[in-house]
Amino acid sequence: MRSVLVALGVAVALAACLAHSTAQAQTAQAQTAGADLKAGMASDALRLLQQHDAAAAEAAPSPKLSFLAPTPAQTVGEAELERFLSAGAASLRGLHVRDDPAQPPGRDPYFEGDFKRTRHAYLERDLVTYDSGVYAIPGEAAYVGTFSYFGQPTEEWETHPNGSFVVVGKRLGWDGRSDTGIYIAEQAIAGFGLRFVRATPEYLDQFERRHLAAVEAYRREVAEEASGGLDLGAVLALGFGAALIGSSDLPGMDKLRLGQAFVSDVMGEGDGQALLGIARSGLPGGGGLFTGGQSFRTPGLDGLLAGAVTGQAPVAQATAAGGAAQAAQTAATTETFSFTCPAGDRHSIPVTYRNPACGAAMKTFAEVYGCNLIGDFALAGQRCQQACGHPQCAEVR
Amino acid sequence: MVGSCSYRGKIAALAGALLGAGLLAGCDAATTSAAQSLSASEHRAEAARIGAQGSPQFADPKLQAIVRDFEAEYARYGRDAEKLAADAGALCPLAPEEAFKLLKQVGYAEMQAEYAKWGVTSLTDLDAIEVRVVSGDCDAQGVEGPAEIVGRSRGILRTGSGELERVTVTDSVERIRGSWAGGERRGPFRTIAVSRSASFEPGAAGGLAAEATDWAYLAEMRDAPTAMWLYMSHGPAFAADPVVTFTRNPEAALFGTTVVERRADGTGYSRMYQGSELRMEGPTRNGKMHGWQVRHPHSWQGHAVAGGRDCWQDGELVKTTTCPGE
Repeated sequence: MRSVLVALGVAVALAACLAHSTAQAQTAQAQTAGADLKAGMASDALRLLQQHDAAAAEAAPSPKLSFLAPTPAQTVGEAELERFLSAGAASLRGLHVRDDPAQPPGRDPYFEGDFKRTRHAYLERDLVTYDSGVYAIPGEAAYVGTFSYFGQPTEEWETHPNGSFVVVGKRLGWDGRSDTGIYIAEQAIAGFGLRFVRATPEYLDQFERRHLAAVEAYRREVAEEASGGLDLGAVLALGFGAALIGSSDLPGMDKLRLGQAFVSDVMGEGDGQALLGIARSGLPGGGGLFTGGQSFRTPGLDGLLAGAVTGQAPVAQATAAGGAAQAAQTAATTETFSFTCPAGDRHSIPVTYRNPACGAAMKTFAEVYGCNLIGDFALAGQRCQQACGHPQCAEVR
Repeated sequence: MVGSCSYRGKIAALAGALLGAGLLAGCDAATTSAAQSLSASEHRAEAARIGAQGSPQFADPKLQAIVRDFEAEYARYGRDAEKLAADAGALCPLAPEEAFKLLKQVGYAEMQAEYAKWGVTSLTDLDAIEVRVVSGDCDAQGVEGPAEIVGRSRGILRTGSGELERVTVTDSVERIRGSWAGGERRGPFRTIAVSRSASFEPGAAGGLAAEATDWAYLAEMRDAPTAMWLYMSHGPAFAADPVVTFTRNPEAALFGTTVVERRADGTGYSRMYQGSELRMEGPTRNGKMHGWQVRHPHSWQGHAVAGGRDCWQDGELVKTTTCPGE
C-alpha cells in the first residue's frame, strides 16, 4: 500500500513539476488583475478603522467589553504548578491565565480559586487542575463553582494533555443573567481557553458511562492497573451527576434543587427536563454562591456575586416546630428546616409541602444532599417516591 | 469511524505525494504543486458533483414556486454584479445612513453596536453607499409603494486581534424588489446580492496587507464572487410565508439552500441543503434554534462524514439526551 502511495506521489509530483511554470504565470496574472481593487479596499478600510478606533478611544467602554476585563496578572504559572505537583503542598490558590489565540493578552480567560491534583487516566500521571473558584471569560461570562477534570485520549506526540472540565455552579453572564446548573467543556487542551456548554444530568450520566468505558478499554489495552483519581467505581453505582452535585460547593438549597432535578431526570421517571427548567429560571438560593464565602481579585466579580445573591433568597417565615399555613388555595406549609451535617456545618433551607410525610422525605432529601451523603442519595430518592409519589419530592413546586 | 479512516487515508496519500516530491531534486516547487494538485482536483470534483445536483425540489407549491423563480433569475443574472445593476436609474436622494437602513433594515449605529458585542468591528463606507431606482419612487424620505431598487456598498469587518487580526472588505450590489409602506417593508420581498470580498492582515508600518496564498485554487476560491437570493415576507405575512435563501459560489463549492418555515405561534422549522442534499434540519422558536438540530451523514470529497444531532434551547447549545422542541 505504501509503495502505491509513494508511486502516486512521484507521478503527481512529476506532473505538477511540468505544469508548475504555466500555473505560476497564470496565478501571477490573476493576482495582478485584482491588485488595484484590493489596494483601494485596503486604503478605505484602514482610513475607516483608524477613524473608528480614534472615536472609540474617547468613548466609554461598553459594559460587555469591560466585563471581567482586563485579565489580571497570573499568580499561578508553570513553576507554581510544578512545585505544587512535586512538593506535596496541602493547597494551592491563585490565578491562572489560559490562552485564547483570538484575543489580545488583556482579554485572555482565567481561573481564580483553589487548585487540586488529579490523575490523567490516559497519561497515567498526575496533573494540577481547578478545584473550586471562578473561570472568567472577559466580555462573556463567569462560571463559579466546583470543577472536575476528566482526562481524555491524548496521543504521545501531543504536547498538551486533553481533557474535559465539568463545573457544577453558576454562570454569570455579562448581561447580568445568572443561572445555576452543570456546565461542561469537552476536548479541552491544557493551557487553552475553555468553552463551557450547559449540560443536563442525563448527559453527565451518559458522559460518565462513555468516559468509564473508554478508560477501561484503554487500561485493558495497555494492561495496567487503574490507579488514583476520582473513585469512579463508587460514582458509577450512584450516578455521576449526583456525586458532582453533592460534592459541589453550592449552598444547600441550590444543591438540593439540582439534586432533585438529577433524581428526576436520571434515577426517576422524570421527563428529563427538570434541570433544564431550573437552569433557565435561576434558583432561589440562599446565602452566597459559595458556602465558603470566597472573595476574588477578578475585576468586578465580587460586586457581581453580591448582585446575583440580592433578592434571590426567599424568606422563610414559618418555624420548624409547626409551620405556618400559606394561602388556603394551596394549603401548603413552608418551614425552615435546619440540620447539622456530620462534619459539623449547619444549614437552614425552606421546605414547602402539603403532605407531612412528603415534607419529611423532603427534609431527608435536603439533608442528604446538603451534607453530601453520597451513600444515601439513592435512598433519599426512594423515600421521595414513596412519600410524595415523585422521585424528586415534587409534591409542591 | 469510517470518516476517521478515510481521513487518515487522505493524509497518507498526501504524505505519499509529498514524499514523492521530495525525491525530485532540482524541482523546488514540486512539493507544493503536488499537494496543490491533489487538493485542487478533489475540491473541483466535489464542486462539480454538488453543482450537478441543482437545487432541492419541493412538493409544497409555495416553496417550489420560489425555487423556479430563483432558477430563472440565476440563469439571468448569475453572479454578475454589473448585470444586476445594469438597468438601475436615478439616484435615490437619501442621506448615507438612511440609504444604509433602506438596504440593511437596521440602523448603522445599531448594527455596529451589535457586532461590537462580539468583539467584531463592522463598518460601512458611508461615502460610497448609493441606492438607485429600477422602478417605483424614491425621495429624501425613502421608498414608498411597490419598487425595485439597486444598492451598492462597501463593508469592512475586523475580527480577532494581534497576529490573528483579519480585516475583510466586501463590495456588494443588492437588487431589492418589494413594497414599502410608511418606511417599512410590507409583503413579499426578493433580494439578490452579489458580493466580492478581499481579506487583509496587519502589514508593515500599521498598514494592511492582502492575505496571500500560492495555492492557485485557494486564491480562485477567495476571489470568486458569491451570489445570494433571499425570499422573505414582511408585515402580516411574516409568520405565514417561508424564508428561503440560495447561496452560490461554485469555485468555493457553495451551493447552499436554506428554508425556514414559520408558524403564527413563533415556532418554525429550518432545513439546510448543499446541492439537493439535506445536510441539516431542526425546529426553531422566535427565530432561534430550539430542539434537536440533526446533521445528516453525507460524503465530502469521497469521504464519509458522520451525522449527529445537537440540542438547542432558545439559541443556546445544551448537552443533553432529551431536547424539548421536537
